[in-house]
Amino acid sequence: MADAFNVVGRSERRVDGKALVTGRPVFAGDLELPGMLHIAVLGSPHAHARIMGIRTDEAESLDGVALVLTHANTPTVRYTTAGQGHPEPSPYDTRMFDEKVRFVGVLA
Amino acid sequence: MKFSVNQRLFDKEVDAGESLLDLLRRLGFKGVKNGCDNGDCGTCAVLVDGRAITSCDYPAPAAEGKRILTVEGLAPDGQLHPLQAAFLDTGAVQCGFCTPGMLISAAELLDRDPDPSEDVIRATLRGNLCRCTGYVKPVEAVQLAAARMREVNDG
Repeated sequence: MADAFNVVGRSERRVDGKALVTGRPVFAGDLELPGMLHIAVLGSPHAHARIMGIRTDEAESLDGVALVLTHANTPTVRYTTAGQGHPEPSPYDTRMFDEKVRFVGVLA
Repeated sequence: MKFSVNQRLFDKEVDAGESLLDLLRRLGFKGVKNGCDNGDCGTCAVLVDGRAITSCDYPAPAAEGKRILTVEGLAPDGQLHPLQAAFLDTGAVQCGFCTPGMLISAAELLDRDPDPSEDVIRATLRGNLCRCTGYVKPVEAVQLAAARMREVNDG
């Protein structure tokens, strides 16, 4: 049966296997680029709340802080986190940062 | 502080509070992974004087004068270590994040026991958490590598 196919019924060598078993820096956390910025994340202290405002001026004035991203200064485009294919049947209901938080620790 | 990594000598300033994991990654050994930073998951395993330890809770200053081996040191001349080849051949690598730690734990095991039972292999890999699929393929990989290494050593 396997003889009739080039792929079905045969094992496939994975293209990134050698890099993974030799510890090459292939994960995002392994990358170091010139001038790379680092991100610090602040989760919501509130469960189920609408954000009236986030005061960022103090954070922005700190030495070395390049920018502070919140719901107020990021795209409001809604996308789906499901990724089931195309056309995507799942709801496009997620924002990069929402003005509504739904649990403690959620990124706002 | 002087120490060696993968048979290369280093003489580096080390912070008193720095972990061996942070030191190794700072030196470019990114094969040593930070999974939990708590000594629980085993992704940061390295050999210190031949003994497998979790480098995240191993103080860097304690490595003074020690021989450290990371996953990068398993294939120093580009030739895969039998364990690395066996992990690929059996399909034991999925996302690959836990793989370096598993390879290090297994390397320590095969160094002292060339023919370990499945129970011993499982006990050895107990400290290496995989969140993709599990442990059947890695156990098979260690068995395959052990058999191949015995063949080479006996033949």
